[in-house]
Amino acid sequence: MTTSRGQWMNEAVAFAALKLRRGEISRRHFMQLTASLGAAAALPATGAFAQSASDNLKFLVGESFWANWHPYNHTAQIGYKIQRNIFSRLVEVKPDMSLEPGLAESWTQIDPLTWEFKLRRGVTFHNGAPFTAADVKASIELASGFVPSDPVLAMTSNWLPTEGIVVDDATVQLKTASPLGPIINTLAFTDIMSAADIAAGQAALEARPNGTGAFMLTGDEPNVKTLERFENHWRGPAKLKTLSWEFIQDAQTRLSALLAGQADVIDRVVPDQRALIDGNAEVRLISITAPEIQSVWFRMDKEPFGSNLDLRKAVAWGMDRESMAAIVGGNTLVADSHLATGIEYRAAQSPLYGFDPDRAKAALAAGGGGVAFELGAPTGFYPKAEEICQLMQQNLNEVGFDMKLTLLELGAWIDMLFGESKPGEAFYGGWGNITRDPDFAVATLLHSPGAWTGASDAKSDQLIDAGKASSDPAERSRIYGELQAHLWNDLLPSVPILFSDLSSGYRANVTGYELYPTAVQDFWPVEIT
Amino acid sequence: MRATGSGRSGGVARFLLRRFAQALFVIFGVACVTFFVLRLVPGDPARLMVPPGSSEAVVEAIRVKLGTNLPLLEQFWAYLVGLVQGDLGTSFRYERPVLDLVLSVFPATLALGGVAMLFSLLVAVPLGIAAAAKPGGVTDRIVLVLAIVGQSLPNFWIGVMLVLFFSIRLGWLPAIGNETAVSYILPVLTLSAVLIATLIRTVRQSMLEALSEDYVRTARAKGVPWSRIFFVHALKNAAIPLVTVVGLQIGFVLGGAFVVELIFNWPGVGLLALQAISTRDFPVVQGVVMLVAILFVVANLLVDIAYAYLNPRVRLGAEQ
Repeated sequence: MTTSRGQWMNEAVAFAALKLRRGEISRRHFMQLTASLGAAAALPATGAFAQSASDNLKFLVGESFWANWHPYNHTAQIGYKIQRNIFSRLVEVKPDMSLEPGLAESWTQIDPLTWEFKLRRGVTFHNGAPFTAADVKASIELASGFVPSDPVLAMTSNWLPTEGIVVDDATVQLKTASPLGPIINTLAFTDIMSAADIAAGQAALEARPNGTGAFMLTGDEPNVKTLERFENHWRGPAKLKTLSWEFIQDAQTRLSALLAGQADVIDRVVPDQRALIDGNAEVRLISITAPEIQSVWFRMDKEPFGSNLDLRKAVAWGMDRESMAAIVGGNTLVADSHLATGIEYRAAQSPLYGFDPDRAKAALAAGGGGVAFELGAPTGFYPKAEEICQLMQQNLNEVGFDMKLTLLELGAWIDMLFGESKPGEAFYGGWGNITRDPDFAVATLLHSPGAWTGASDAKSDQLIDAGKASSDPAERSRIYGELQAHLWNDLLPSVPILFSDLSSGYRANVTGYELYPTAVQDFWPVEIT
Repeated sequence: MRATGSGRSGGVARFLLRRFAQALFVIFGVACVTFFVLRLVPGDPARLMVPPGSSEAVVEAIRVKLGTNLPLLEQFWAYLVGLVQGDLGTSFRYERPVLDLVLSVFPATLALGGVAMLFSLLVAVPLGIAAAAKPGGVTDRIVLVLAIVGQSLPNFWIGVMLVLFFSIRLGWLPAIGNETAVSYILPVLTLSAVLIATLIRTVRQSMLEALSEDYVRTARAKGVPWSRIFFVHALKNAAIPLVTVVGLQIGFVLGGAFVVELIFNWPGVGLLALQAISTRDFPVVQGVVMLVAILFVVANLLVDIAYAYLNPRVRLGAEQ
């Protein structure tokens, strides 16, 4: 497109010069004509904004960047996404959430507490230092809390204190304080840093990332991060030369940039925008059901719901969850378990709690009749949360509840959830998994103390602990099956509503781009054709 | 009785001094209101920086690091002391000095606002004059319809429509960013739409009032050419209310820039402030508000000075 326009410009100038030589136009007219052609040249032609250089990709993201680069001290999805490209891990997640070898070529469990990893040779960090077992030891001991950190690093909550034992440069053993069933999945989001960087202290880790990943950080502006290809990456150099990540808060602005050709890939396409992408031949939509559950959570340490299972079941039967999922659309599914789609050992539960006002009224009567309660929900964060909660309010008030809906901006909603006063009797919210291991969801949300709901349930705690301690797939399947049934039928600390849609848009000339349900993005195989 | 030269300059100095003192008071008021209102809004910045369900000890450690654990008055005093020294604090989110952050994006907003204001004047003044030249005529009616349309449409809608048509459908202009000169076209059009409408009405009305004055009738009776009456005598007097409106519209331009910067991802103070509000980055929000307030106050001070220059009665009033 640009070439043909350039040719057209040259031909136009040549034609004007011919006219001048023939005396058909004056010198003044010639100058005016060429000046206007010059002005036209300054304007990009149709589709010109789509002309990304073939090895430079611009990725627009909807989440603001974290202030520093310490890979173990945040829980931001954007952090996991960008780190995936800068660091490597012993094992890596594939787009279908299964695992594959990363820096470790193989691994075996030696005893219930010890795993041995054979490491890849010839790997180097971005600063040229060779990767060895000492780097794994330093990284895991820091991430797991074996080496204490003040304050405690966010990553540590996913680990048990784990000692690294260097067998030789290419062999390392990890020895946990007690059995840790999710260890391999946890390793899949634990970035490996250099032992020398870790020894330099936290400030050095926060200042600049130094990994073994496919890209190196070269530009670090508050809203734009620029990565360049690492030529010595262990999988071979990436196809892209530069990868630019830019934070753009507004979903419509991200979409406009994609459609206008000013971006190659955008994340967080909201369901309302799908039609615009589907109707444009130059862009593509990639969409999956994410391992994220949107639920109504009861405050289990408060009345009226805390001690009254009938009331909680009345809420479950009284909500039209099919319509709620339809409001969001896309690949959204009605939730049928407390474990989201894609999570290991997930099993659909029964009954499904289909919309049944009569059963809701009966459960409500058994629970002592209509009660008033307040539900807090965030606006502008989960797609269509406001509409879902309004439908919920209508549904529940029709069966006899007196539900007050309080819509809150995200910061205020987080304060409501976790602040000391804990107002309201229920809240609407979501939880996304960054690993397919069920422990990540249930231990954080449902194990007491510190459970989101304030629940303190001995059976849940016992099953969660047993699942965490077991490495036997059959045993874990039994444990998590029992846990899901208990949560669904006997405890119901939350009513799962839907499993979320996750969509991303990209230009048609981008190939190799895949959407990872676990919130990471690997740009190593991506290219612009 | 005429004032002497020295008496006149002393009066103007007193006038300017009074205006300057008022400006300082306004800026201090803005600092107070911004600081306390931000802290009244629910949302703990420390909680937004830790994993959901983190222990109170972890949250408290972050509060200590941010300084939000200190008593409110102590925080306020530290803020005021810093402000006097030109230190707006450090961003919670970006961990960079706020002044550096704000100053790094301020030129983009200034350029957008300046070009929009200039463009609006270039469009609105001729159209307003043309409309006033023959009230009730075809030109007047067309211009008034345009003004009504411009004032009726919200700028976020105009912005999105312009992007859909010129960037996505035609592919002529960029949808986001400020990298090239052509990047200014759509944001400036969006920001100018309402401004042009307001200025057209002001110019038209002022010109109509000026043209109905006795001195215009006298000039016409003396045979002064219509064009000279129109552009020299009437226009200079009509410029006085225009200057006032332009001064007041600087606030609108800065406010409108927040929306326009979001739509076009224009890297200015509006975009920075919106991001800071959602993450409860108090120092950045305070810094942006202070900068905008200072700009607004200075602009109004300049308008007062210009007004005093254009209208001698203001100076005389100040002297009296």
